[in-house]
Amino acid sequence: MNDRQMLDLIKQSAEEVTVPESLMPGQIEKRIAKEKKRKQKIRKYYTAYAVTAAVLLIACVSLVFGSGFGINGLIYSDKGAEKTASLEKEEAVPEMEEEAASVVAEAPAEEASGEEVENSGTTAKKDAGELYRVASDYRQVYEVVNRQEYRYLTDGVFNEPMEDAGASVAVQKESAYEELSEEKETAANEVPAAIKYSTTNLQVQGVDESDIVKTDGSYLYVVTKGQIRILDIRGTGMKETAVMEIPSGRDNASVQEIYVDNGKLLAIVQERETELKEREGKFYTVSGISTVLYTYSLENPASLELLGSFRQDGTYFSSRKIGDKVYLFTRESLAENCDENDVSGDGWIPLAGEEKIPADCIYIPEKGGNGLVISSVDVDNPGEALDQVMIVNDQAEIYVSTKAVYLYHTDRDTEVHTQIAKFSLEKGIIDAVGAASVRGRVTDTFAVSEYQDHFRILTCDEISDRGNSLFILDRELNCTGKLEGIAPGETVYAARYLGSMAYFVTYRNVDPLFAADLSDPADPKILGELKITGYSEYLHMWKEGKMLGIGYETDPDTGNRLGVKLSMFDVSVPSEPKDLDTVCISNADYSPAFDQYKSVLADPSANLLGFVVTSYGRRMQNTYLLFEWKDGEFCNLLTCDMGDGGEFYRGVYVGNVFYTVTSEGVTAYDRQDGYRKIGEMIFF
Amino acid sequence: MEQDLKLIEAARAGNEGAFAGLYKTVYKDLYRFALYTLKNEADAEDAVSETVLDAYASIHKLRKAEAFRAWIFQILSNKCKNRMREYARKHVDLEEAGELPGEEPELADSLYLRSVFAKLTDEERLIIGMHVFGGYTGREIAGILHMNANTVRTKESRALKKMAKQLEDREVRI
Repeated sequence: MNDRQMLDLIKQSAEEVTVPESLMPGQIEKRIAKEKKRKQKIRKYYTAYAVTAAVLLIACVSLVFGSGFGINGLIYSDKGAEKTASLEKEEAVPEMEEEAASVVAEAPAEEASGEEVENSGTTAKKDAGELYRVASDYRQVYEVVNRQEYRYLTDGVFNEPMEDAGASVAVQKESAYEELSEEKETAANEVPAAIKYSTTNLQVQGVDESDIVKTDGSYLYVVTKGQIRILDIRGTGMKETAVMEIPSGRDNASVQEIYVDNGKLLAIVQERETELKEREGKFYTVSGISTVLYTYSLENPASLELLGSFRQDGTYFSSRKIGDKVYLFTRESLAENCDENDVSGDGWIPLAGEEKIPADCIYIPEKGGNGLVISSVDVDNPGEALDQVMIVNDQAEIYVSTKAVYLYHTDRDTEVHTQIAKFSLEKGIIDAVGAASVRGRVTDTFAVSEYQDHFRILTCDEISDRGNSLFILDRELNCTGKLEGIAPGETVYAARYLGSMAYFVTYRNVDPLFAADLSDPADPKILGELKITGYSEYLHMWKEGKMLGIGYETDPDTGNRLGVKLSMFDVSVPSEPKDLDTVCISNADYSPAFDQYKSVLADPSANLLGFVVTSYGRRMQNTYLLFEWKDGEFCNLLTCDMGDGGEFYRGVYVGNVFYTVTSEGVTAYDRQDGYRKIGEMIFF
Repeated sequence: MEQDLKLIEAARAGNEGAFAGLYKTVYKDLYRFALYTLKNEADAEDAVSETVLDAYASIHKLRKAEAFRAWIFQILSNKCKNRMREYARKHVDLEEAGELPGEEPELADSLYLRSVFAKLTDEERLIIGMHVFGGYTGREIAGILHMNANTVRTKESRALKKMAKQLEDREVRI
């Protein structure tokens, strides 16, 4: 039974719940009528009450609109012809149908619409095709935000396929690794030449990602319970050097993730600030969430020196670090605060640094109630942003290559499409390149990749049952080639690109692993497929033409899950992928590897593969498993209980020591001595 | 939708009939949510009832009229959270206090399912309740509970799998 079926069952089980008489609408109407009379009598109380209610309202609405993804009522069209970039709604937006093309690229607008408004100082931003246009003033932003139709009152969540890219609480698969050619795969690092240590499992090599556990070979940095714990792991043993205090002194400041690189610690902290504000003689408490990038020197980890900080409005969404530039992504709800009478933008246009984001740095679609704010900060000048934009959008996911950020989201207004917009990130300047729309939706967050200026995207279209598709888009997002009709009726579960090759797993009852050659962008070809039982949720390139898969073993007849499966495939001859070895952990029910790629240690250069499996028995058990690949099979190096209370699980190696890290503590094992436990530290 | 927006306008202007009309669209889910998270009929009734009065008292503040459902669910989920905190403080034994039935194999499937649901932790019930009855997405729940969206997804998925496992173990008919 999958999560979605389980949710359906829960919903069904509640159908026959009888609502008490006192809560029936008729009764309620009578009660509130009484309430109304009371209200009129005690005006004074009422006024005080309204202030409290306002607080509640602010808190709640921001949560609702602050969502990364809306709940869409699904509208399926069974038209034969494929509709294109479906921004058109009821209004007479110019039709954009181009004869039955499943990809539409929108050329970048040559010139952003004329006059300079209060400018950010950089050159004028370009539109992202028809998808997002640069706003000319805040009124335009207001109009877009106000056009948003929230769909909470429609049929609700159960119409939404649960595996939608980020659209739900369902397992979000993150699997594809990028460009890990074997040379680059060395997860080792420069600094202390002798000691080799592991780094965060990245989506794209060359694009660093923040995480909750980092090491520089000398110290372990662990984010737990909103703080940073710094452990000295030089020599033997571990000792706690510092517990970093958030400098803001604000309540509710909580460290989300960190970077450790090149002698600097970058902490991403989310803070909530509440202020008492006056409006027309009344006072209101107003809360806002902002995200701060604090940059510290690691010269003396026992007493960190703050080099600078940069704050932007919104809840933390994601971040990337490319060379010395950090890109901070936050989401901010616009809908609840935006005020028709106040087109100065005060109080509803998010701040980046101390300033409101200028209108000419705001990208607006047809409608949308939330802003995705992106700032770029140079680590050598961490107190200010190089550039910032806000893209009004309710649900986009991001993919960041070394040169560009791609935003993509599923659009169901007509048929199921994925809307893509590309923004270049040259020298920290964020500017639109173009937009495109492709058929189908992305089911694996990492089924997208950029290689040699081409963007590859693998989509599913279960609704029309036209199978899965792979599109290749050029630098300007024009489609150069595509593969369509792959494995109709099956869904992409995992994908992985290596250079000009694509590997992906689709699944119904057996698992075809496909290998596709994309070296000619105009003519992608499927070279081979391998049918095995079960399916992989996560793929990672190993060395010598091998690829690793972590997923489920299933019964080919019933589809029932038989445990968590680890497989090694030989893909050295892409037309004939082979299954080399499989280990199935029969009592494991789940692995965080399926949806949190950063929890995986997969380091071919060190010949280590570590991940956690979870069993739901009498008590939930989390077990860390570490394997090496030796003589054609998986060999288990370490198996250890991780308890059931941890928020996260990581495996890290530094030289000859292996560490398992959870939110509750760190345990050390000697790699030279059969992974004997040599130390432990529990966080209090 | 159109109809609802009109109702909201009227409710905001103080029309109790309109408010009741809006309430009618959500009350079943409100009660189910409260019952499933609090596991107690009397408390669920109180929580919903308080929520309605609070909502009515502040409906004129609802500036984005479309969000009625999400708004009222937010009020209710706060009330449920506070009650659960209260339970914890008072060390109420939820298994006993709960009126959701315990294990009895001959119970109908949906009652059995409820009993399995009742065994989840407070947090798990809250997350799944918000999703199933409130219609919130993972990220919204993350915002409400001040958690990371991935953590919410993981927790929900774990909880669902835990339930599925129990159901499968007992071969309950689907």
